[in-house]
Amino acid sequence: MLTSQLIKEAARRYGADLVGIGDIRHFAGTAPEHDPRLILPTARTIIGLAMRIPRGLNQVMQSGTQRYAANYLGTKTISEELTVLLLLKLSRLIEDEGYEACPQRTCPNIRARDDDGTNPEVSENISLRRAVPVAPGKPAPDVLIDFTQAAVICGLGSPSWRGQLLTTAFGPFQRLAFIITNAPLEADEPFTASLCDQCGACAAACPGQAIGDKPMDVTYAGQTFTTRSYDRWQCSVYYRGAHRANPLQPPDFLADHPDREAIRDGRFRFGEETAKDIYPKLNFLPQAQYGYVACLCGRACDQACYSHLKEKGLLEDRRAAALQAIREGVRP
Amino acid sequence: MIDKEAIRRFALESGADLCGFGDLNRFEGVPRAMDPRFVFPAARSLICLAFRMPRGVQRGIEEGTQFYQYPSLAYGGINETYAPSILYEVGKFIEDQGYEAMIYRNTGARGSVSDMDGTPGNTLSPEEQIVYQQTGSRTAHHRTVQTTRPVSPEQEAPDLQFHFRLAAVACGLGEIGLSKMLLTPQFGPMQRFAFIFTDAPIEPDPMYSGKPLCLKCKACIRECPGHCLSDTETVTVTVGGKPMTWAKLDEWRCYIYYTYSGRKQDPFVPTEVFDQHRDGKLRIYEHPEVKANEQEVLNVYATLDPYFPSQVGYNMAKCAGCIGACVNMLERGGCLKGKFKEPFRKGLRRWNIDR
Repeated sequence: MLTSQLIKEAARRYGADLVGIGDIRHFAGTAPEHDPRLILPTARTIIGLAMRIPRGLNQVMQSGTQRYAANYLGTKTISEELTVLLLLKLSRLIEDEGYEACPQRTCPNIRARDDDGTNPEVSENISLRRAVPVAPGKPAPDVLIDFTQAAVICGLGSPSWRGQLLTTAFGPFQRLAFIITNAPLEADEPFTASLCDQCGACAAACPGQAIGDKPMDVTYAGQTFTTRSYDRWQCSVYYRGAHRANPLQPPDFLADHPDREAIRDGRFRFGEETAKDIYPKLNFLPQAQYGYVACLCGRACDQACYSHLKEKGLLEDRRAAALQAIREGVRP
Repeated sequence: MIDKEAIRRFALESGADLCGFGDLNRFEGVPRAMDPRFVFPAARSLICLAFRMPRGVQRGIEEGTQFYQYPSLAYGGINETYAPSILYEVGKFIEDQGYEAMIYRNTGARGSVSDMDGTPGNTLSPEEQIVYQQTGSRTAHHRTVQTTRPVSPEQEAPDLQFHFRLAAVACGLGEIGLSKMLLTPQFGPMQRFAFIFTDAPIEPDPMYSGKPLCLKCKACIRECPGHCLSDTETVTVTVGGKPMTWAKLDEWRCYIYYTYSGRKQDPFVPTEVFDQHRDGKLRIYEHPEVKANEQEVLNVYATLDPYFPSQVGYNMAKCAGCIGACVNMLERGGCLKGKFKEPFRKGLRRWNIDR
């Protein structure tokens, strides 16, 4: 018999660091373009899976000595390989019991109809705003679930200032995947506390000033969280290294550009067109497979967030649990 | 003697969903350019591993609400990541016992003959590698290897491609359906394959001899949006003495419809684009008399590339006509009956865009 405990144990065995199970009814009121019930109409639950980004990869970004490893191993390998293995293995387990498993990996390079932004992590984004519904009553494809919302519903964590997930285990450093299923599993409670205390360290650390000060409330599973405006086009330019502190920038970078200094200082505001115009000048490191670009800001926002959470004692100390698990021969 | 059941057990525990053992003599009569016995001439046995596609990965296409997960997980995810990881483990298991394991993942268009139509020479294939220069696009194509030649008179030109589905039949896993898809009793048409050639002498499994897996219901023919499967012509081949018959498939037409499945089935292309090019680059969709070929593929891909091109290394399946139809029918009265608690499809047919 398929139980929540069995799913959680298997997910950890297959590589998940965090597992939570959410009641699909918590998506009530979600915009159709992001509602998992329109992917699997018989859905009852959603399984949330988090895979940590090793802290060491972030340390070397923060210290400024290594950028490629984090892009390749911390982003591409987790999203394109480890997540795939985890999702397919766990889906087998669910479907062997006669339930349907709709795995949801990140769709890094497509933007839903209502999304005018971009994903800074990949070289190209495709807008689906011209897609049409296949039948009356259905949203135009692709329905893309909001990963932060889904993670909150699965009890994994809460949104940061810029809207991504924070957990007590890893702060901002994990990547997510989900399985929508009609299996009637016992659900966890949604996460109701806010790990973000709105210190603003993330915004202050961003070399491109991509995190604004305009408050934006989001409501997940009946709980309202306060976030801030986050300009993804602005982020994408500095993620690729337009800022002065980028050690890979040559001395003649943007030498003929009239706004050179404003750009390097993060004062210049980029939109879709101006961001795309400058991307060819930001080709400092090779892309990883599937178009993952190297993060040359060093995820300054997340580093600042992590340091703050740690300093405030909001992150779990996992060492004791890990040692105990090793002694017992199980995965923590 | 290597323990066959130990290999099977290890493969299944490692993550394969099916494991079968084939006799290479079952390929007697195969065209030389596609004869797997030339891949590893010292091989005495062929092992087939099958990896299921979760039914739920097709759910988004069936509902018409999500198309990304199928190519990235059930195609790319299995071919590029899942299957190789298990092939590697099973290969090591065999080599630890003193035999050689030539592991062979799913691949296409690296041979001397077209995997579209079997003809020699340089043709496009819908597999995964991106060829920018021919199409000026980002969608996925690659080409058979035009210049390849044998390295010695007794060998075949590299890289030899063999027929995966027929090889799975030779390993006893199932039968070819009218749709030309390989059907297994466990998963119907929902699996992908990978193989291991080994010099270990292994008693082959018997050919599948259970109840016929294909219902001959012709749902695959009816539901293909491109009418790529013939209702009147069939092809019959024999593997290991077992004849198998399928509907003649127009591979070039299938290539087009698989990714850009036309006005009624492709929600990512605006209506005006089909209208604008109806007598030009997209004439294949509007004029049934137009014969599909490589040039028509290029016309379609170059025109429709901006509308959800390939970004996962594999083309986006929009049609899923044959496979969805087959799963639906097998759940109603075939080998998949009772496998799931809720049916794949509630009605008889899936959506069609009204335009």
